[in-house]
Amino acid sequence: MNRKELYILAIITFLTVCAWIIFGFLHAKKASTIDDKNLINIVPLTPTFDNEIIMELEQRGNF
Amino acid sequence: MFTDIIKNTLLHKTRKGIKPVLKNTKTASYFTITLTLFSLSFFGLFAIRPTLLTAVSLIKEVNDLNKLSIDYENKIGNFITAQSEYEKIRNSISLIDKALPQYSEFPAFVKIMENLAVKNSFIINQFQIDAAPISLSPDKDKLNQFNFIMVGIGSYPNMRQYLEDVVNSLRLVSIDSLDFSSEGGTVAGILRVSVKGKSYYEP
Repeated sequence: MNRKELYILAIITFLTVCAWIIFGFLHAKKASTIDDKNLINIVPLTPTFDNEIIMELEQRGNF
Repeated sequence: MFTDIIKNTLLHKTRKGIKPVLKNTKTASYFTITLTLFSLSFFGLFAIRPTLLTAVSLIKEVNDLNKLSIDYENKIGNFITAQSEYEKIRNSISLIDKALPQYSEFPAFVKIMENLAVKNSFIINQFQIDAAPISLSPDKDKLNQFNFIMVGIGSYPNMRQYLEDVVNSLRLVSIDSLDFSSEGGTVAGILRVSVKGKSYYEP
């Protein structure tokens, strides 16, 4: 292996390691750390009831 | 003696071996760059990458936990609002159960129809309900229904009032069709009505 081949190998190794670091960085930045149990728990809740229906039911006759 | 030890060390031997090669400027440059790139690759792989990933993961985790905390606080706020809203309608919850019972409860339905008929001087001749399960249906949170057919006799005003009361009764009823015919000749003013409709329940 002459000096040029060694030099090319060093560049390829360096670029591969750089790419690996960048992909690892992006993956770590994107991957969510919240587990499924918490995701289910934080589903928004609508805190209102349909009062119009209740009022309408109150006006109906109970026989 | 100390100098001999240094001379015999691996580092000294390596330096001695490399020294003639580095005399050429071009070779020295190639050697330096190659060694630098290999060193960066080595440290990048075993030092920089794990450190960087740990740092990014921790920052991401902190952000996610902050967001989770805000979401939980919002949800707790929603629960408190829902609780106060529920307290306002607590007494009316039983109306919902009566309007849309958990079971088919067709005896209670028939009783309502009968009471309304007595109230409006309307005579029920025939009342037929399609097959409906008495026990709890496996289809939970799904609106179920049963059909009914009723044949009755009465004057037009009584019949009209009866049907209005049926539609406006607490138990949900929908009427699909009405079939009128005269009963006992046109002079008597008595009508026979055949009603096809549905009532609902939600297990």
